[in-house]
Amino acid sequence: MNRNIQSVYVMWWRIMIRMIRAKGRLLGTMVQPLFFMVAFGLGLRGVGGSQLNFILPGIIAMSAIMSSVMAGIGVIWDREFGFLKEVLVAPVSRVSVIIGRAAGAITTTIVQSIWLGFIAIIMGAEIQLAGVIPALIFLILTSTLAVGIGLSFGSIIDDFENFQIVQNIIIMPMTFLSTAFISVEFAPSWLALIVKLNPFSYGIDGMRHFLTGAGSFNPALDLLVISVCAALSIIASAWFFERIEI
Amino acid sequence: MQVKNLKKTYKGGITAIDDVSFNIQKGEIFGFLGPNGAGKTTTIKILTTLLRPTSGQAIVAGYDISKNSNKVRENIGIVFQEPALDDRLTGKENLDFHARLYGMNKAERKQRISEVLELVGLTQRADSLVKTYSGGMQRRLELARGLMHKPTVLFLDEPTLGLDVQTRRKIWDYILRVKDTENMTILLTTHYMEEAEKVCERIAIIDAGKILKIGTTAELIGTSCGTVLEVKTADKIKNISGVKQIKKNGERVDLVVKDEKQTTKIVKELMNNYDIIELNIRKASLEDVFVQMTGKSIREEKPQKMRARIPRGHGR
Ligand SMILES: Nc1ncnc2c1ncn2[C@@H]1O[C@H](COP(=O)(O)OP(=O)(O)O)[C@@H](O)[C@H]1O
Ligand SMILES: [Mg+2]
Repeated sequence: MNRNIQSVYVMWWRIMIRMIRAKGRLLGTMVQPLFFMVAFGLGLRGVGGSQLNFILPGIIAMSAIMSSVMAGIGVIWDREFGFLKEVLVAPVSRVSVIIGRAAGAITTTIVQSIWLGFIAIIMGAEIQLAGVIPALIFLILTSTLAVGIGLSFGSIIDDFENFQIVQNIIIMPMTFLSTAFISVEFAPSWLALIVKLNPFSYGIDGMRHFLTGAGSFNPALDLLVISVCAALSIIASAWFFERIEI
Repeated sequence: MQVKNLKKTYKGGITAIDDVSFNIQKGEIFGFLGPNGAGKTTTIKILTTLLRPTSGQAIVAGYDISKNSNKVRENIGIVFQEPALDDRLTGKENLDFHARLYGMNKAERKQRISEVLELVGLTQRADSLVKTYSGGMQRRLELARGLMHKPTVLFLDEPTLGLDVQTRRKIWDYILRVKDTENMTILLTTHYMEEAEKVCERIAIIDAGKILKIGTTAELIGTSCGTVLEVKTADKIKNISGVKQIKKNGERVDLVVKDEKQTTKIVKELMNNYDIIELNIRKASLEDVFVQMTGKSIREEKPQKMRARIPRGHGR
């Protein structure tokens, strides 16, 4: 048991160390979303606070999903460079390895989101400070769902090109066809239906609800849907990771 | 270690090993000798629980690889054929990562890390990133890591592949020293004959997924060939009784003599019947045995490349 807890810790620790050492990539995850925020934020300045309040949490959520899914690339890297073997022959449960990896990716995402949150405030988004903690919980659940999807595909796929295809045809649509940028109240009904079928919508809606008070769904429903989907995605990723053969 | 009728067919339909069986005694150094593609790595991957066999059973360190894989994992150490280090961590961090996965506590980790670093001569470079290490240093670090948790069985898959002679010798020095002090069972693969001959107590010759013969070097050589006569002559040598095989070897012809006692008789016969320019008598080596059994030289193949393919367009 002790060994499995160590395994979670050490997987997390390794991801942290690597992130800190990869200065360029760290800078990228912190700076790249800023372009979106500036473009949307300044572009919509004339439109008024409510639009900004809608769009800025959307951009934070989008960035969080994108960076969380990257956890899958980590598995592919380790496979490519052989390090995965070191992990797979260790006498620890593979579930603990997945949890450690997920924890690492989620931590990175939280750091990124808090930083973007500050920028959003500076840009004029009206954030309810009391809602920050519950919003963080929704952020973590949203990130967990994305990490689970990333790790599942990372375990099945063994090359980068195919992972990129997954990002483009699964993750991108799931991000954009969600409450991140689409309001279910104003969208045509077919589009609203797609948005409602997308589990990310609920995590993002929950975040928005607590950050700005402008949610579309019942937050209890948000919590239920995103929690169940996050749990399922992690279970799926553990299942796929368990079956890796090299 | 007991291995029985192991077989592995990969998804594409390639049968990498077929009906592989052998036993290794506790404390023994056992070598797998065979050309590239023979199935050595596949066998090691199965025995170290990385791959599931298509059929067959194996007991490693006293535990069944299929039913009790976690127990097997606890008791084995491995140096893989291809590098398996995180090169963005330092040497020490790689070892610490490993030690934690094997449940070692802080005091044990500290002590053991400095012990194994000392053993492989990497103490000075312990805090450098692994990507700054040479190939030989990386190999030594992997060996140190394989020894960290004091495994009872150590697997070494081509531990010296692609290294220069000096480094190879050094690595074998470490391995033999460790073997003496920690009394491990070692299964190693190699396609360097001299290494196999020098290090292994028993050797299995493997080719195309099958074990052809198992024995000590002396037994392997003894049962199939005794001496080799390297002859340089302009004449064409016809069959001589007692000569098991005649094969061209560049300018010369090699005559493999099965029974050493017949050597003198055959030399006389050669001298009497042919115009001999040069004659050289030597004891048969494993190489000769190998050629004898498989009909090909183990050296024909080039060593596999060491590094995994580096994908384009992805920063780390
Ligand atoms: N992942 C794989 N999928 C399909 N075939 C494989 C795979 N790995 C190895 N092989 C094939 O299995 C055979 C044995 O390979 P291997 O065990 O690596 O041999 P060795 O280690 O003796 O060089 C080779 O024909 C090789 O091409
Ligand atoms: Mg091999």
